[in-house]
Parts: sequence; C-alpha cells; structure tokens
Amino acid sequence: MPSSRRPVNRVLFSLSLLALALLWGLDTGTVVPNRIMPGTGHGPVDGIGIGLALAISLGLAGVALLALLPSAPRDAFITVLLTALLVSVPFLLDHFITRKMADAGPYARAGIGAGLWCLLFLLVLMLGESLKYARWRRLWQPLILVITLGAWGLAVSQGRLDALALVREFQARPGPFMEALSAHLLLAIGSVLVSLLIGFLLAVSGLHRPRWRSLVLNTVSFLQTIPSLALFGLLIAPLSLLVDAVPALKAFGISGIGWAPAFLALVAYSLLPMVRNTHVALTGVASDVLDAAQAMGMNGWQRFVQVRLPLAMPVVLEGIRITTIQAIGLTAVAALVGAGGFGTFIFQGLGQAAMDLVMLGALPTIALALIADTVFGGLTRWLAPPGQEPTR
Amino acid sequence: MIELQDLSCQFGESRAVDRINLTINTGELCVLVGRSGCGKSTTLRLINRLIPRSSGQIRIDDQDVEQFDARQLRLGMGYAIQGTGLFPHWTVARNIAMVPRLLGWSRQRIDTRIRELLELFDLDPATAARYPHQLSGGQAQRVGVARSLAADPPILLMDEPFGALDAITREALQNEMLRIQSTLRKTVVFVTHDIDEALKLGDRIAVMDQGQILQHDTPSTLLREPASEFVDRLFGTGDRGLKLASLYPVSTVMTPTKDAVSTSMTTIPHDESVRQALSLMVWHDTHALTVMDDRREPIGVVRWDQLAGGDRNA
Ligand SMILES: Nc1ncnc2c1ncn2[C@@H]1O[C@H](COP(=O)(O)OP(=O)(O)OP(=O)(O)O)[C@@H](O)[C@H]1O
Ligand SMILES: [Mg+2]
Repeated sequence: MPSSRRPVNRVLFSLSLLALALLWGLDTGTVVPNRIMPGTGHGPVDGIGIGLALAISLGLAGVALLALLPSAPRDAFITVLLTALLVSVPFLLDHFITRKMADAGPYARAGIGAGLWCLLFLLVLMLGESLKYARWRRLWQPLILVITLGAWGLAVSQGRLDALALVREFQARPGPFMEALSAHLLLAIGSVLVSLLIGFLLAVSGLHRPRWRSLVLNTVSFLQTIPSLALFGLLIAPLSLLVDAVPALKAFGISGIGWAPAFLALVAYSLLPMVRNTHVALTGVASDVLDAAQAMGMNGWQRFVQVRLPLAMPVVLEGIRITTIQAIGLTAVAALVGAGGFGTFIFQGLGQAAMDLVMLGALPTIALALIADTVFGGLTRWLAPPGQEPTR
Repeated sequence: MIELQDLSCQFGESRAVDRINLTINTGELCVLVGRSGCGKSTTLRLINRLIPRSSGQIRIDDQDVEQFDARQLRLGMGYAIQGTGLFPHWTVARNIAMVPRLLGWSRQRIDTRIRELLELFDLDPATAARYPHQLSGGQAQRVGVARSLAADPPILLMDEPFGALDAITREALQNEMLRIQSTLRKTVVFVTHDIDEALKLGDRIAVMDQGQILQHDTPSTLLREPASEFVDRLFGTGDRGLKLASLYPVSTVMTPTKDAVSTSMTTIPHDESVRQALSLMVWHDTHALTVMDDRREPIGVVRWDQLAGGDRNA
C-alpha cells in the first residue's frame, strides 16, 4: 500500500542508469544493405541526432532522480515518464529511418540497434517495477498497453517504419501472419479452456479424497517435468498409430503431426498450474466460514456454490492467468510439430539466420502474453468477491 | 427441552465426550464450562449433528435427533461461534438473511426481520449494507449472534461467542445477551471457558473435564457446594465470596423503608449487585447505602452487616 513516505527505489534507480549507459554505449540502429548481410551500426548522436538523444537521456535521468525522492506521488510521475519514453521509441525509429535510409540502396533495410532493444526491454522492466507500487495498477496497465501498441500501430500504418527489416518481413507475409495469429490464439485459448475444465474437475474431486488428490497432483507435476520439446515429439508416434488404427479420426484433421499433438501437450502442461491453483484456492477458504455454513443448515452443494467457490474465485482466476501466459509461450514451441502459430516464424528465422523474422514471431508472442496478463488482471478485480481487499 | 443421555463421542482412541447426561429445560440458558480440550465444543456439535455420536441419545422435546433430517434440524437451531464465522463476501444484511432465505421466506419478511434484529442489537441500520471486514470486533460479534436468531429458532447453540473481544465490549454484549434472553427465553447452550461469564449468564452451569460432566447446578450451588476438588479449584480462590456477591442484586438484602431516608448517604441502583454495594462502601468509607429504584426514588437502605446471605434470601 502506498504510504506518504517511501524508501528510495534502488531497482528503478539502477535500471534507469543502466539504460542510460547502454543507450550511449551501443548502436541505436543499423543499416543493412540486404536481408542477410551484416549491417553497419550507428550510435545515438549519429543515428537520431544529439537533440533527441539528449531528450531521451534526460527522461531516463529524471526517472533515476525521482526514484530517489521519498514522497508518494513520485510513483505516478515515474509511470508517466516511463510510458512517454516507451511511446517515443517508434518515433525514434522513424527519425532514424529519415536520417539514414534516404540514400541507401533499394534492398536496404533498417534494423533496431542493440541499444534500442535494451532500452525497450529495460523500459518494460521498469514499468513493471513502478506499477507494483501504483495505486491504480489495474487501470494503468491496460492504459499503457493500449497507448504503446497504438503508437507502434500508428507508426506502422502510416508507412513510417516501412524501411524497418521487421516490417519488411511482415509485409512479405501478411496472410501467413494472420494465420499464425489465429492458430496461436486457438491453440492457447483452446488448451487453456480444456485444461480448465479437466483441472477444475480434478481439483474438486480431490477436495475430500486426500489419496486421490496426491495421485492427481503427483501426476500433473510429473507431466510438467517432461521437457516441452520431448513431449511434443513423444506424442507423434502414438497419435500416428491411433490414426492408422482409426482412420475416421483423419476427418477431424487429427494426425501424428500438426495441431493434435501440440494441443494434447499444451493441455498436459496447463494441468499443473490449473489443478494446483484451483486446489489451493478451494482449500484456502477459511474453515470456520464453511463450518458455520454447514452448522446453519446449508447442504454440500449450497456450501460449494454460495460460499467456497465465490471466496476461492480470485485465486482460481490467478491460476487461469498464469496458465494462459504459460500456454501462449509454449504454443510458440508447438510450431516444431507443425502446429502453426508464431513459432513458425521463429524457427524459420532461426533456420535462415534472419533475426528479424525471429522477432516477427517473438514480439507478437510477448504482446499476446502481456495482453492476457492485463485482461485477467482486470477480470480478477471485477469478479473478486466484494468485502475483501484485492490480493494484487 | 434438550436431553443428553449417556452420550459419548470417540475420536479414534480418545473419548472427547464420555457418557454425559444433561437436561436443559426449555427457556433455560445452560453454560458448558471447562478447560481447553475438555469436550465443550464437541458436545455442542453433537447436538446439531455436525459430529456423529458414538453412543447414547440426544432428544429434543422427546424426539431423538436422529429422526430429523440433519439440515432441517440445523435450520431450527441458531448457531453462533467465536470469530463470528460471518461470510466475508456477503453484506451484513445478506449474512443475517442466510437461514430465512434457506427457509424460503419472502423478501419483505426478510427485510423486516433484518431491521428488527439490527434494532434489537443496537446496530445502526446503515450497518446492513456493510461487509464484515468493515465492522469492529464487537459489531461483527453482534451480527453473528443476530444471524443465529434470524429465523427465530427455539434453540441457540453458542460456542464462545464473545471469546475474542476486549473486556469492556465483552461485558456490554453479555448484558445485551441477558436483556434479550429475558424477553425471548430461548433454550440456550452456551460454551465458554470464562468462569465469570458462566456465572453471569448461566441459569445452570455444567462443569466439564476430560469429556465428563462433573457437576450441573445453579451458580450459587456450584460456589457454595462444589461436588469435587476440581470444581472447587475451578470456581475460585480467595474471591469466591465476591463471585457469589456478584450474583445477587442489592434489593435481595436491603431493608425496605417507606420513610424518607437521609439523602446525604451514597446511593446505589436497586439492580446493582451486592458486590458493587461492597465496593461502594469500601470506596466511600461508609457503612450504609441508600437503594434507589428506576425512577431514582429511595426505596431502602442496605448496611454492611446485611451484605452476606443474599443467595439464601433470593
Ligand atoms: N474432529 C476431531 N477429530 C479428532 N479429535 C477431535 C476432533 N474434534 C475435537 N477433537 C478432540 O476432542 C477433544 C475435545 O475437543 P473440543 O473441541 O470439544 O474441546 P473444547 O472443550 O471445545 O476446547 P476449547 O476450549 O479449546 O475450544 C480434544 O482433545 C480434541 O483434540
Ligand atoms: Mg471449543
């Protein structure tokens, strides 16, 4: 809880100094003559001009100074400043492109430099840290997400970043990009929903059966320990055999490779966080409350629906949030068994040593995870039983 | 009337309740008192069948409780516990409405009942819309007891309902309990480990130890004629006389007078305890007090050599 006097935030202070050092020490942008040749890097003064470079540095220095202030309103200032810095990144790139790409060849493309990547990464990290203390975290987070994605969307849609390698990779395959997006979403959301159903039933069935419960928890923990790549691969053989034995399954698009093994593996991985959180949530409800409910004449079903479930809801939702973020990340690996999704670009890019293509797969995956986090954060707050302080 | 006959409850090897016999008359407040772990809560939970009995009988108005549907049985008994057991996700109103809703009362009837109960327990009507975490400990405990009375059950089971409160709030709630009980006359089983609370509230007190009932008697009998060394020690040391004196109002020992009494004397309300009279005499260094009635008119005089024997006059 925010109080009027705050200790110095060392994390924010050091991170902003680090960002400052990396901004000046590393390349801001690169110019690449064609897709696979190495490019030439440009530092901040050369790339975006001394004025902009100083403005960004001033912003970072401001964050560092604010982090030292012992007063409460500083968190709001820091959050606003960090958001402004984050939003400025696509416009820095725009500036870089106008300065450096005008007289480059027709196949030339601009790359985001290591310094700018680090800046992006550190800004997101610092925002996470500053939001931890913000009073209106659940309001800030979606706002910042919308503003940031909006700034990038605006810059791209106006064609200002067309010279950027990342955008070139996207423009070369707009159809596959949308396919990857829908495959990724379908796989992640579908597997989370199925694991929610199974996980909930497993958790509820273990509520009053300790031996069955430990069997369930041990099994899902064991599933989690199998490396994801191995699990995707392991499912290929039995599924192929199954489809050979029951050819009718082919009609549903089930085969040894493709979405079927990926889906099964994702469900298996999602079970642990789902079962464990649901179990913790349901058993974490104060026993004297349940006891009173029984003593006053509620039957088992009434106790579960009217008392246990609503009180457990925030932790159940937290479990769904964690599972969803995990599933979005794991779905990227599922491309290896031909399931589609953003992983396709990542592995293609790795094969062709085209890092920008890798980024075209990785960045949307990260964005999806952030969106999921934000949506569930809001949902938790909205569905939280009243009369209790929110947990986060 | 609640009758327990040779009632036992076994948890594995140990007997939490060991062949107890106890009769609680209709309209009587019976206190179960004893040290921690002696089986008070277990006895209470056997009565509403939260715990199955191992042997013996429990009869309510001459019917074995096993003949009732467990839920119907519980709906007919109020239940209040230490730490309130209020549902944190429901407002005070919704908490109080719980049993009436389960019984299918109309909305209007429930609303009227909630207002009545808030008034009975001296709670601001605005409390109805609050959540339990927005209440003070005393308010929450009042709501807990109000909730147990919601459907006007003839029987109340209370397990250390005032256990977690500070001394002053606790006393206020005890007085409230006495006031409400004097009009409602419920059959109450009240568990506590506080001897003073037991003496203050109980019509009769059952002293328990190791799952057995050692003595079941009125407060003054327990103080005057303890049946065993254990009861003797439990009820007191040097201040046993004071405990006894706190059981009776000064009106039981005073000399009534119709004549005018010297108003220069220190006064005491007629319903204050003999213990309070003694305290006033010591404090004001006097041998006599004027007893006043509710309208603050003098109705008698009490002298220090009259203070003993109040229980025999009663
Ligand atoms: N569900 C249970 N399973 C096993 N043993 C139990 C159970 N409930 C109570 N006991 C045991 O029965 C004995 C009596 O417990 P009980 O709760 O009735 O005590 P109590 O008199 O209410 O004590 P306190 O004043 O501490 O509440 C204790 O030894 C306790 O450990
Ligand atoms: Mg107890």
